[in-house]
Amino acid sequence: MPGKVLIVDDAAFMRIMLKDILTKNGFEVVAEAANGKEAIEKYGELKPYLVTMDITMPEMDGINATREIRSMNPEAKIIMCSAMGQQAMVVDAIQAGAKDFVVKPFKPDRFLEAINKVLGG
Amino acid sequence: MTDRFDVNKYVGVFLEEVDEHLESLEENLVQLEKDPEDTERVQAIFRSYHTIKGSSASMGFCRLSELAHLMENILDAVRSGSLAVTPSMVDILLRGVDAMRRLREEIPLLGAEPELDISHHVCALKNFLQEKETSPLPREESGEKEEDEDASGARETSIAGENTEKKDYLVRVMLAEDCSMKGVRAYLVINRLQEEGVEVTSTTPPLSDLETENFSREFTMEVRTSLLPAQLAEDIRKIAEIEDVDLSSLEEEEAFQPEQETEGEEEKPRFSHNLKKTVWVDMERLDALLNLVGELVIDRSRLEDSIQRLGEQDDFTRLQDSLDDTITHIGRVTNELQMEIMKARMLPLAEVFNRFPRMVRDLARTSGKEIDFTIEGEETELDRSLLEEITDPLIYLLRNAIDHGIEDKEERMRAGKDGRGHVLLKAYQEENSVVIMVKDDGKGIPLAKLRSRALEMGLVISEEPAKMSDREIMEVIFHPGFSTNDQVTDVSGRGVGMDIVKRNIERVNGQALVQSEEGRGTTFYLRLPLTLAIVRALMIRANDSMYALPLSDVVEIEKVRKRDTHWVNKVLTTLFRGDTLPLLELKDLIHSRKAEYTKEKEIPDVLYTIVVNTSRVKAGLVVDEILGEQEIVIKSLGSFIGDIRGLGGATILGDGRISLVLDVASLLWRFSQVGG
Repeated sequence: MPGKVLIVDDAAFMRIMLKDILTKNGFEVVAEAANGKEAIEKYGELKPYLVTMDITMPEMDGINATREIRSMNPEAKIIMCSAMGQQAMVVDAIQAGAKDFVVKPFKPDRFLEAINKVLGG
Repeated sequence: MTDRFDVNKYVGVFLEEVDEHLESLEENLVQLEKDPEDTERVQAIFRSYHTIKGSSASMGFCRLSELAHLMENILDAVRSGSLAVTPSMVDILLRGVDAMRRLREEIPLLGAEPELDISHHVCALKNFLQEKETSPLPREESGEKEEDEDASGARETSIAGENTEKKDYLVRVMLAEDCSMKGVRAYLVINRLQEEGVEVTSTTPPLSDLETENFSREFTMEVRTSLLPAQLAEDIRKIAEIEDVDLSSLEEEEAFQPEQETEGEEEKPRFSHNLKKTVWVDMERLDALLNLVGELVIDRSRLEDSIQRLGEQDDFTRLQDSLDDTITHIGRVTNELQMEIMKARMLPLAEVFNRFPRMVRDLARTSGKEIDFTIEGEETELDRSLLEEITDPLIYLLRNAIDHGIEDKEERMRAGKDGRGHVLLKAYQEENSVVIMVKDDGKGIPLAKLRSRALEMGLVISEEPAKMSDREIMEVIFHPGFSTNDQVTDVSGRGVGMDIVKRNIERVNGQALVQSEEGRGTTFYLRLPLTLAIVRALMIRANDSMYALPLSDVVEIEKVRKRDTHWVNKVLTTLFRGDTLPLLELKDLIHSRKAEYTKEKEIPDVLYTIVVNTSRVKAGLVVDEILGEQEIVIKSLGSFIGDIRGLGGATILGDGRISLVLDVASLLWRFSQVGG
């Protein structure tokens, strides 16, 4: 179902902000996860159409979670939310199958652009 | 795409989260100093800095973000093994945390980050890293090497693929103006094309420059593909932060003009000053509350229904049963609702305890003592408002324990003790209260010195100290202005404090007790009610007014006959469990009149006496009538009326009447002044 989004970030602040941006723009945030392990569980359970994935998280980082989710569903659409200075990790994530990335701090428009583009493809 | 983006509304949750991280940072750094090999902890600290960095940057707080970034780099070096954890590193990181906290503290007031000069912290952190000659982001280089290999690997497979009808194109990609991580963005473009089976034969600037971001916003690729040019451009445009894609056939001229995308106006984060206090509440508790409210709504409609039927029917007994039923149910639901709301207000003591390891560490460092500090029972929960009230007393007790309780290392060795002092902060629930214990294995309170000092200061009458039990003598330390320390140090021991501890704790209906053994150590016990708001109270009548007396103050209720009373020093007393108990008339006490019975006063045949016990006085309060026991919600009298001696607040009773709540400690204040 296009529109269903899973937000993965260990910072509640980020999750709230992303959720706000998404719901305001007609997306349905089906779940939030605070680490990679939760993300995999929720992905399997809810099959969201899109995942926004933080990189640095406890339990399991976003790169490994991306890899796992992509092995569950090679079509999974994942956008990385990276902090400045994580170039190498973003590259890892892209190799793991992430579709796109945004760099924090980002403007909501940038974030939405990335999402819309991924959904359009 | 979006309406005005307002970071304003996130500031509350942002600050909460920053606070959580600052607190855990402090705790983790103190622990890391003890066990530098704890890699889990290094990760946790790294993540905290990382999260603060990201969130602050999103809020536009550059200083916070910069500090977090620099400290994150240090932790990254620790993580990669190129930097070892030392006390001086912990010092510099803790100071950095302090600086972040100072920045954070002014955010709610200013609505922005304060213009605090953090350059010396920045320098210190930068120098620290440079001295150790580590690269700030060691992962980056290795990561990019992998990328290179992988990219070329992918290239080979695409060459091996079908090559029918392949054409060569020149693709010019223009990145968005404020595109961050240009190198990765370029990599993503190349990667995406390769996934589609496109062969990327060369790039301008070369791949190595793209990786190191050694280019402006534009780069070109020579590609070989069987895809249609329009499709190729479309694929690239599906990547974020690509402003423009230009495709030209290397064989024939063919260009594609993509639509321009406009950028929203740059907006600086701004927010208003009104911050709400927030508490994290367990979802299950909120669900339980919602269910209970639902039950109440059902009862309301049942009541409405019953009332409606009252008009239609004459069958009153059945109606009465139905109403009775509903009222019982409402009673039960309200009780549960009350419990649930109370629980929702509860917070674990960890909220307060977490800051202490850092404080103890610093105090130990300045005093040159070695302290082994243990915290137990931090998961014990307490009402939020109580948590605030006990913070200062606990800080005081801990400082006192380290400053005065624990001896110098040499002194301890001489006394045959472990050179390290032990301080234990422990919380546990006991019946309807929570006990917090601060225990040290220091020198203890010298009773003899206490006795003479009490005498000297005129706190007790000369012949009394000998008669006073050790426990009673010990209580003297809670007396205002009392101190056994001749020297005043900068942390504690100014002779103020212990009385404030006691006063704060008593204000929230708690008790402060002390136990000490000379040479072995001192233990303070703070006994606190689980919640402030709801207490069980004894309802009494004096004159024609009704009063509520918190049950925590009541020892016993006695019906004293006139013939069992005696005159002692012109004061009417009775013998209560072997003690002489002065009898005081409550109505006079409330009106600040002489409350002792005198020969002139008429003494009734039966005196309804409530035995109360404050830390300093035990007395019998004589009332006109005892009405019973009930749960009351204490409401403050408000600042207009202010503090009135003897009153703790007011409460609204079930029938809508207002009753004053008595505060025994301040009611008997006058009697405690003369030593009982």
